[in-house]
Amino acid sequence: MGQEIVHKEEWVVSACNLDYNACGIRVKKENGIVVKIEGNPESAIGKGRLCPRGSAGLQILYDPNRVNKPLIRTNPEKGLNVDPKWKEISWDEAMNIIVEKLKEIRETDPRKLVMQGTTTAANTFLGMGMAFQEAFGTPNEFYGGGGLHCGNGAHLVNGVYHASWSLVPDFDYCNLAIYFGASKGHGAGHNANSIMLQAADARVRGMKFIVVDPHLGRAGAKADKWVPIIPGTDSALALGMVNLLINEFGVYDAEYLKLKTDAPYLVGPDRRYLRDRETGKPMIWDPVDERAKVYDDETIRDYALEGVYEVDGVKCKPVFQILKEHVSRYTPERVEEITTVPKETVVELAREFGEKAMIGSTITIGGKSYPYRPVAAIYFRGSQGHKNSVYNCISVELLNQIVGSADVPGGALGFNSVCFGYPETGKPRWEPKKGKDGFMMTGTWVVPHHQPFPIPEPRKPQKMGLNDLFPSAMHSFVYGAPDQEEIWQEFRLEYRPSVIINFGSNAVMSVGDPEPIAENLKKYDFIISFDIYLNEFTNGFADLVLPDACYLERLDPSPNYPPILNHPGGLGKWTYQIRQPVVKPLHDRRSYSEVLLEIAERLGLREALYETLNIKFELEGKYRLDPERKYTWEEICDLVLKNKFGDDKGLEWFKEHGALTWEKKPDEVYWRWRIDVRVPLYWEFLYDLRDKARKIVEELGARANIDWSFYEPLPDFKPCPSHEMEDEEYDLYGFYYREIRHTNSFTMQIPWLDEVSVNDPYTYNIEIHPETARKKGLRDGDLVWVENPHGSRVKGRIRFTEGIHPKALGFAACAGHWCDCQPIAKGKGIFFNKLLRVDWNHVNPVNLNLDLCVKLKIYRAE
Amino acid sequence: MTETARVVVKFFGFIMDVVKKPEIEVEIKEECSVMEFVHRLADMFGDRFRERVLTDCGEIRDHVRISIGKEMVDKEDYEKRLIKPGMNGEAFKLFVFSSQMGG
Amino acid sequence: MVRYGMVIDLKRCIGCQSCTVTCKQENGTPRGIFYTKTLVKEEGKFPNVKRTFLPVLCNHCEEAVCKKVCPTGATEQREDGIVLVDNEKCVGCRACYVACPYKNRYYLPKDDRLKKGYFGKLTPFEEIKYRNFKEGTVVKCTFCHERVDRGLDPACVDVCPTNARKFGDLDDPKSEVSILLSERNHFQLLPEMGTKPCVYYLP
Repeated sequence: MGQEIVHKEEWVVSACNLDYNACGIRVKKENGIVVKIEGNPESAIGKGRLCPRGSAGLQILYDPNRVNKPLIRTNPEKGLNVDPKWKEISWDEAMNIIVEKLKEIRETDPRKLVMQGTTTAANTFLGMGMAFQEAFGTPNEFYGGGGLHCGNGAHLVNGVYHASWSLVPDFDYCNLAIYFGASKGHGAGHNANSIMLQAADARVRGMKFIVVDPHLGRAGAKADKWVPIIPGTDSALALGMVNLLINEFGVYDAEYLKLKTDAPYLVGPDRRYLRDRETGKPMIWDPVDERAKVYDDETIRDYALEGVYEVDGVKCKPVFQILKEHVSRYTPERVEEITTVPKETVVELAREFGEKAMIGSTITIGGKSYPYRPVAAIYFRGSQGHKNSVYNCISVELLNQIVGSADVPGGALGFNSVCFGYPETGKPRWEPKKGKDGFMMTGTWVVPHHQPFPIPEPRKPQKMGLNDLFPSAMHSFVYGAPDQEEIWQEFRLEYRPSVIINFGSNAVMSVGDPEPIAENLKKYDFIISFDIYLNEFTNGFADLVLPDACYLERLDPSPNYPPILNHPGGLGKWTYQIRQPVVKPLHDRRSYSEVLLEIAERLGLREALYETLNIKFELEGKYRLDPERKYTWEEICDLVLKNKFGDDKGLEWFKEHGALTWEKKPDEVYWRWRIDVRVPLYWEFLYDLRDKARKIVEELGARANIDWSFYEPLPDFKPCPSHEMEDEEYDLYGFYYREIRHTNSFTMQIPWLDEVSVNDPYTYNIEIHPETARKKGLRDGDLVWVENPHGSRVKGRIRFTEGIHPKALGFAACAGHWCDCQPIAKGKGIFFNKLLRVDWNHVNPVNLNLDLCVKLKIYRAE
Repeated sequence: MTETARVVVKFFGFIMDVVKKPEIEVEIKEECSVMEFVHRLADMFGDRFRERVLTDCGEIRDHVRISIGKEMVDKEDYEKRLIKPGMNGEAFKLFVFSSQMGG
Repeated sequence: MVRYGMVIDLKRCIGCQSCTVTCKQENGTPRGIFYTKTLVKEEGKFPNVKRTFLPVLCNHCEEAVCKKVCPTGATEQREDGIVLVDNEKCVGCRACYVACPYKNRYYLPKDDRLKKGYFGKLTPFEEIKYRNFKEGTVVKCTFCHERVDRGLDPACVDVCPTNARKFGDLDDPKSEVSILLSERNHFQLLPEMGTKPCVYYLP
């Protein structure tokens, strides 16, 4: 063989970006060509291993379908299947156009700008993208379906209960984890790669997994037990278990409930906390002194959890008493009716969870004693992606709260809620603190200037998504609503958004039915899109496409910050790492952050941007950006790093070493009892939110159909529109699941991932139970249509599996591209999102989360 | 009295649509707290400013940040920290973030 | 003597195919060629259903039938047990492909895949990697012998997110693979064929 001698072999340390998890990588180059990406064993993030997406990343770098030059649309027509007739232009020309467009709206009304990002590259967007947005002065951002589908409920509830973005079982010590629509440790979600190893170690150790899910999936395949359930009914099952635990078995952690929750807070007949007249603080009943006291009174000798008391002539009950009564209607029989989970199974699940919780036990770790509660109830995308988003999450969370397993060894861990910092500088540092009514506020949060608790006051909508009127909503459906203009008129939005700067989001595919989205996008004056590939969004609606650098060509100073999003939880190590260019951007590609820096400069926004970056990156003293001088992106990154880790650990150090790693302390992981905070079982503050929001809605005279019953303080099962569908023709529940080999929609263009997906029985096909299919005369492999009650339909092949609820159809990921610009992805898999309705009736009235299950009929495609 | 009794006020972020100008000068006769000063700005700019920056109870909203020159003012110090005529030439900077939750 | 082998813990494997993909980047195998892959099997009836994942690759058998049937001596076995195909000697008769009971050998057909790669034209990566391939020959897993010779694990072992694959010397009782085999139940694929495969599975 004519083997050529390798002249130069080089390794570069960096961070992955095939999804937001950003595992540590090391990349090998031969004569400047990238030939291998491996995990970086020095990094705790990924621990030297890679998921299939990370393993496939180098095909992005060299894909000839990449965008390599700025492109301007020459066809004024826009639409889902319109040829944009792209024309290549220079960066100079592109920048001139951008600056002119942005100058115009900055001067007239900065609110007209919408910054659109993608969760995939959240850690890039959260840096410069968000700083640019704030500096420009617009309240509008949108993350496509990656945001709207995945986290309004789970992140809110995880934030309130765990001061973290998400939740994992303590894989080191947990003995039983029950997953409700979550796959943590089986390929998707936060720290997907890192926690695959933790979960595998736990399985080998003998930890039991029970997976509650409409389909078996990868988590179910590895579980000890799979409990099939009707999509969106998780709250009924969880509340049924809570009912059995506290009303039948009498299993609950009274000490935890008394000291760490609002379980003893008294509630009056008006369903509000009974508050001290002077201080406004909630009251509890001290059964020893036989009188009411404020919850933090130092003379409290005990807290009553049950009973009825009279305080100043007002009859009141502790929250726990109300909860007991509230959940009593979730009998095993009723739970079975709603969920199809057999009543015996409901009892078995509750009993096992209660027994394995080992209430009262302790464990010594690192020479220190902690309460030991080796059970965890975990929820994520599956349970939260419904009209009942908030209550589904709270209901499951109550299981952890009842047995006291939150953030103690063996329990349910909000990850990295506490950080003591790098030992030499004490930075970065955060921990939860006490807020109103004794409730926990997070120590850090993914999006700055906001906390999940306290939820800010609702106000007249300034944001195009009305999120400020519904302030627990991170993402809003209004972007894709068919009646968007009517909504804006009803809610008197003072302006209309007219320019989008998009960063990699394919919002035409990722949100829901693309037809109304297309009509909404046509109304924008100008859409700028940073992309690595052209896609259905850019081809259909962008006016100017900028060739973005991919993760192997880009510098990011904080790909894993804040670590409550994408740094592995539990015991182990801390790692701070950077993402750096492995090769200089090829062709005319440029990095998003650098381009935005230049745009800001040319718009005269230097001071605003620098000051915003100073706040965002917490730059102090000599590390602050001085608006008197101009910095390159590299210089900014250098300051960000030195500010945290000292002068000897700036960009040069990180470029060479890649990752800074230090030991995590048990007190950072198991912090619940060390920090004086409580969490609410009874979300009394929802009443304040409701009252303020309703008042504004009424003042505005908006006729929106908002069901305010979702603002009751205790969770309930509330049906999705799919549960209420009466037409028998539409007899199957469609849902989609996250597929281990794909991130949102963009990875289908990576040939290696496509190849393993084609070879997989399920990834590109529709999961159906054989009996269900046979009744309809369908055979394995048939080409079918699935159609929703509104007449939207998609075509695909069915694949028989016993691993799906007979009343459900399972679809993988966000597939079914139709654009020629991604030839590998085109025509692969099924575009499930097309079947989703994006309107008031399909969102949670508290957090505006979209309902992601839909009733379908299925028939053979001719 | 210093030679100038003016305070330079710079606005940043989601307030530009209300104040229009990124920078103004405000005359003050005697020192006042940061809180009082923000209320004074609210009186100058009216209800839209007030809604954006203050809660219904008149507190400075959580997503507002204030610095005097290069130094951020802690939330706890809004009542204590004083704005003085002249302020040694340092600007009063008011940042309004758009209060978002995330992704 | 060193006898290399692999032990795959099926309790750990979640069928993510990271091994499959990373093998493709390590070896640069053309479209349709998989030195390793993970098979999926479903058993049982709703709701008591089990889905299992089985990674497969060349078993580097002690009694390598592929070597015996090769008419040109292209299939060779190193002293450490690694079975390799010399594509200068391979004439593409496919006798080995037929003889292998595991069907983990691939014939690289005489078509355009070495010219067009995955994208229709070769990427710089493919230009480097495809120098190692010759159409009309048989290819297979090499246990990443070049890595192994440098003291590294095969790429699929190195990457596995669940640490399901272990590689080492089966003849060394102190190696991780030997210890696992002594501690846990295990099986080989098609032991009745008498090939003495060196890939073991822990159920």
